[in-house]
Amino acid sequence: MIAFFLPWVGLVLFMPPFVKLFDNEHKLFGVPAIGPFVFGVWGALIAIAFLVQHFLRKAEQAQERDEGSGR
Amino acid sequence: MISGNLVILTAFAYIVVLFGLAYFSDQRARRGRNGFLRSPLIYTLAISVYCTSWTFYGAVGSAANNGLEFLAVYIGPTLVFVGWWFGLRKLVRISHSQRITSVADFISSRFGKSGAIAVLVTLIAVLAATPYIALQLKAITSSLRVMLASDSGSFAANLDDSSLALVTAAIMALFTILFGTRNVDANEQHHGVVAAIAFEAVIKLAALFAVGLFVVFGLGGGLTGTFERAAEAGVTFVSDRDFGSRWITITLLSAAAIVCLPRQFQITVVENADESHLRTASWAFPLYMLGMSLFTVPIAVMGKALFASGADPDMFVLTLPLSANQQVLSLFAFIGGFSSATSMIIVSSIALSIMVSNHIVVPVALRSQGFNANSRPEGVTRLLLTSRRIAIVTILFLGFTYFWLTNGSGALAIIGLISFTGVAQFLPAILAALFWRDATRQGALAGLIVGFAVWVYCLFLPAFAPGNVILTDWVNNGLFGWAWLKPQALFGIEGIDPLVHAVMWSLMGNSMALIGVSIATENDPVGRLQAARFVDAFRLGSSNQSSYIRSSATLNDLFRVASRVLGYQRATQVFDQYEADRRDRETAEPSPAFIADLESELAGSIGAASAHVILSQVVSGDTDAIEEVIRMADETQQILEYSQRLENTTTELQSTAEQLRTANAQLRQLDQQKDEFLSQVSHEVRTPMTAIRSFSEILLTHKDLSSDQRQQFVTTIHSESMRLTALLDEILDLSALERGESLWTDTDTDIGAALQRAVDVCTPIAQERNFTIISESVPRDRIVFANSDRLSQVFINLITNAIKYNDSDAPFIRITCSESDGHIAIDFTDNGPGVAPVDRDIIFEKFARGRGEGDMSESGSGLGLAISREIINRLAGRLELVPAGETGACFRVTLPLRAEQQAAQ
Repeated sequence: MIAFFLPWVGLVLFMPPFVKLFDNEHKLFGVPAIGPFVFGVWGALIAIAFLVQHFLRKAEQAQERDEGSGR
Repeated sequence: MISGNLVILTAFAYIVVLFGLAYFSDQRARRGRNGFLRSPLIYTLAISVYCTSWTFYGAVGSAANNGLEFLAVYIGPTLVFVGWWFGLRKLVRISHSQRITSVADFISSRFGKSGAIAVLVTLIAVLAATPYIALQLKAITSSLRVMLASDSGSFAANLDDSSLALVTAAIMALFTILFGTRNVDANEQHHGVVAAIAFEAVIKLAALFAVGLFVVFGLGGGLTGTFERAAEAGVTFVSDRDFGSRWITITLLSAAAIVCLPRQFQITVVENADESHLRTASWAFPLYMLGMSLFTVPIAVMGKALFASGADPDMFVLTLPLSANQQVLSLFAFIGGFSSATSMIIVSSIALSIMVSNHIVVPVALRSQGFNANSRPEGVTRLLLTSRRIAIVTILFLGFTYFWLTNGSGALAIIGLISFTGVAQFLPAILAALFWRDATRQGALAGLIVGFAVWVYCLFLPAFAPGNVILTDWVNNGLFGWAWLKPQALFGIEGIDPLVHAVMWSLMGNSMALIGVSIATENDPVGRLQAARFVDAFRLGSSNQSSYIRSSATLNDLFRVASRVLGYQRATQVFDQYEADRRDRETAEPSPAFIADLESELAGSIGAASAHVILSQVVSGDTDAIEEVIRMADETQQILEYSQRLENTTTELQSTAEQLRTANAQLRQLDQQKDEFLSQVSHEVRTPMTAIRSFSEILLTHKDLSSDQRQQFVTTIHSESMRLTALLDEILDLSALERGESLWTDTDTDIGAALQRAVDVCTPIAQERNFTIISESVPRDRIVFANSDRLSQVFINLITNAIKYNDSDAPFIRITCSESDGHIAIDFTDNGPGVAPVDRDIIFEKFARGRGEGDMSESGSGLGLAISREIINRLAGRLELVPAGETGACFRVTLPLRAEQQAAQ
């Protein structure tokens, strides 16, 4: 389920009007806030994608083991 | 000061290293030790061929000009990759099972193995790649120019831009030919090239990181310092144009490009060795892109701060280290940019050359000379390789021509986006191929044509405008001077960014044509089959159904064909494998499965459409094959229907068997009851018979009996005979009732009178046993249509039963009466032991008796209730056992009232 929603959540966060919220004069870590925002969302997407594939792999391995022991 | 010759030499040395790496990897793979080469890491790094010199140099330029817009180019692919489970996975699965060799092969294979679509897609891909290759040439040329600017003594410095680009193109062509077209591989996988690309990916990332770190920490003094210094120099990071329609458009375009670009398809799908590698790529590739764009903004800001406004922002990556006199670093940066350009050129031209040779050259060759049996073996292999080499040279030359025609004008990012828009035209067809079963060949063709035409007119041609009077006139005034045909303002819609404008119209027209025509047309049998294989890829698995059921070809015919396409060696391998698998060598006819295998084997070399054409010609001819497909589909349908019918029948059989089992159980019970009855009857008959016999024997033998005794014996004999007669009468009565014979005539009967008579008859027996008959609310003037004697018989039976079986201290029976719905109900409630639950079902059966009672002498024939029920049933009434109080039983007789009957009639 997460695997399905992830790209769409990313799309919403990256698209106007959402992204426009951060497109202003505010500064974060000495750089315009938009930079950390975009890279932050990007990094989060990568992290979640990593976790998703990690758990998918675990689940599949567990399933294979079950099937293996069932035989 | 860097010596110009050193730069040139380094570039050459780098190419030699690349060459050596590719060669070494190929050798390794050939020896089967390709574990590392086929790892997810190498795969992911190879995918990053997406990051070309556009990323390396152009992103900085774009950031300097348009703010964060450059990020959209990486966000699209990021979204596609983190959502790999739903799109890419299916794409890869299908491509593996169908032996897809290129994006053109994929689309044509889905839409009925259509040759026309393959040709069109190939043309679009080549045309779209042209600006992209020109972009790489421009990047290499410009970077060389920057590097050489300080040293006018070098020989290369005397060449003009075009010559530099031409030399670069020539060297690239040579390298690609040497590595991309050494052999026709079964799967179109190029281990050596992939290894080289992965290596280049590492180089370009390292180079960009080195420059980035130097700029931020060496020049800027930290991230904050960088932005502060930029602000001091009056450079603010403008972002007012960001996140508008261009942002959306570019995100969409790049998401499409990561799938549709021929080189991305080649690496992501065709070179994919294992579906599970996508898992790693799903997060690692976005991470790589993140790394590649991390330093883009600082470099752009610093560049703008340090240089005059005239400086080319595309070259900041080089000029910043150069200006700080960091010669080694700038050389490294140059190599990084060089590697990102070369990797793109190599993979792109390999992918495109495969498409050109498989979808244009081979079909043309097949058609012109015919693929006749006399052509030499290995002819097709040679044809393929030669055509691929020529294609590579042609593609690079086209790229150079574009570069030359546009005079290297335009920023890198703009050129790249023209390409993206071109290949994005494949997106509707690919999506339809994956998810929409009813998309047809005609629909895909129409969509591609419309999208392609709009793209060429609105974006591709206007790029040449600056050097061309006619084109400039077009762009400014529209074709034929019609303003509504202005390429950058179709139908008079002005003021939109040319890119957004072109993307909007081309993709909209493309999708509309695809959907509209698909709805209006229908898939042919091959199209339907392929649609099912693609859309249901996960459900069907990789089963490769055969489209050749009966073949007219012999193994020899097939071998001749295969050896021509695959080469003698590979063909021998395939056939030996088959021979080994085959048990019966007697028939020379190949099995359908083998032909299907062979087709996918051939498809791996020359594409699905061509492979299908070739094998169809050999095996049985096109039309036959299609008929076979239809027949096969029909057979499948029939089998499905048959199995469904079988399933239904099985269900019916099961329920029938269940019914039979129930009936059998009932029969057995009945049989048992009959046996019990017979023994009961025998017993009943035997007892009086024994008495009669013994008494009559006494009478016969003992002549000296007193007349009293004689009288007594005769009376006993008489009464026993009477009992016997009564029993036989009852049996006869019941069987007559069951046969439906009417033994009496019905008249209007007062039910109260009948009941009173029964009570009167039973009163003496009741008094004998201290039994109380409580007759409450006896009905008066209630007329039923019945025989009064029979009715009394039923009532008597019920009352005597109650008397017989009642063992309580103060036994009684209560007779109550109620009326409803034109029916009269008479309840006979006693305070006896009641009817045991097990007996409730069988108590009305013949010869069944309550099992509870121990006093057998009290038991009657077991026919009373059965007869009573038959009688009441005949009178259109009901006799039933209704739930009584805590103890005792309650029998209810329900009869329709006569008056109601008349009223109802």
